[in-house]
Amino acid sequence: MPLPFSMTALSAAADPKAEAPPASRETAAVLPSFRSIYEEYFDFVWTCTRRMGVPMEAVDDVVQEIFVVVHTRMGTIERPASLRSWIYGVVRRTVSTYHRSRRARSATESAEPFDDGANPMQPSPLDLAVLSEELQLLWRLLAELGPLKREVFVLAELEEMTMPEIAEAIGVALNTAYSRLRVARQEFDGAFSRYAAGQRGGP
Amino acid sequence: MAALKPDVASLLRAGRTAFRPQASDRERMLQSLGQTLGASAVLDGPRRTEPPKGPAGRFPVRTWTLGGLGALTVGAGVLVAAHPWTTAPSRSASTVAASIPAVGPVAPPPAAIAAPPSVEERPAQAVAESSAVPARPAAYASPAPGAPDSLPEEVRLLSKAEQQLSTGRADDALRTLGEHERRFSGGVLAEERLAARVQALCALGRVAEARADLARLARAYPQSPHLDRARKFCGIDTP
Repeated sequence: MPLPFSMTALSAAADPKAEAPPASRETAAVLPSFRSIYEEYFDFVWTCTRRMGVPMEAVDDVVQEIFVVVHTRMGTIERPASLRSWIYGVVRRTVSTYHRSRRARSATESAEPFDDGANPMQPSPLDLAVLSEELQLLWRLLAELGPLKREVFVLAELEEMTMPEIAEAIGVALNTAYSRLRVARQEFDGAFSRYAAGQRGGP
Repeated sequence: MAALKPDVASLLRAGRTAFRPQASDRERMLQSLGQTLGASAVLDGPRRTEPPKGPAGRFPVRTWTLGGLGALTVGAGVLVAAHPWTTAPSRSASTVAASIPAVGPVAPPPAAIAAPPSVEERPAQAVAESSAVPARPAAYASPAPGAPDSLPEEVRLLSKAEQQLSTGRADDALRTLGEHERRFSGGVLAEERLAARVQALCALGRVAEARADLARLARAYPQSPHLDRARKFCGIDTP
């Protein structure tokens, strides 16, 4: 059996050099309190974490680590207006470290096969199995997108983030984010059309 | 950028409800963070300084979406725990009651429901409450004679609807909410039922009906914290 998810491993995701933007005195003054951030972003953090393939048995540890990082670094946020993007960055890195840690344990400590759920916005197979048929279809179609496009697509269409937020969250130029979304929409539409044609018995 | 096909848009709308947390998740994590970071960290919010605006034991309304609906049911669980007719507190109630170490009791005695203590006297209650708790129906403070045990069942039904919404079964959730309405038309959780119904209708793409229910929600509960989030979730900008 894999060991429980290591908080130490998670801490590696929270490298202050990697995450802490330069402090800004004037903007720090308007940053909401930690409790307000928790209230506002708990659903977002949890949902993104689950959608990134963290199973229920590990989600508490991962989400807790994310909020510990938020609490530790919140005083250094340069632009409170882009808080959602910054928080998503913390989620992304923390979940990535979780998956790396889990893969490493799976390879060295257990013969149990490990299904890599590290692709952005790809829930675990077990989580997908309990969804309605409609939602299973949604994630099947999403799985046809490449991971980079899928991430932008999910953030735009399911989390309803703005494109500037998304670009900042994933660290790409705004044009790149728009380009990925455009292609992702085309591909998703195409995948859906193929599915619908298959349902009708067409080509 | 080209608009998505209607069927695709409908599929995505349904997808927005998936993997949302439940109230017990939010409370459990808050408790855990309180232990890790210290109670002062999780108490440090604008809500802490606001005095109670009405009867104590009101629901800890926080967010409107699935987690919010769940939060309401947890709040109801707190009430159940404090309910004079209740003998076995729900799991949610115990979760909340355990929140934030070294603070006062979460579930007040029945007498406190009519006369809330100050925030300083019950800081944990302040943690559990929202800044924008709406006025509750009179039935909340004074359960109707002959129906003292309805709240646990109301909570159960709304929790069930929440679970159905979170797994993309908005149509099932609507049926569950319909059952709640039939059995508890003037129930304690009528506001929460209406808010959940708006979400389910939006998830199903029945926007016109969602708008109508949103209007009902606004008329019946003009101060409801669910209103803004419901509008946002459904993409309905105008009040």
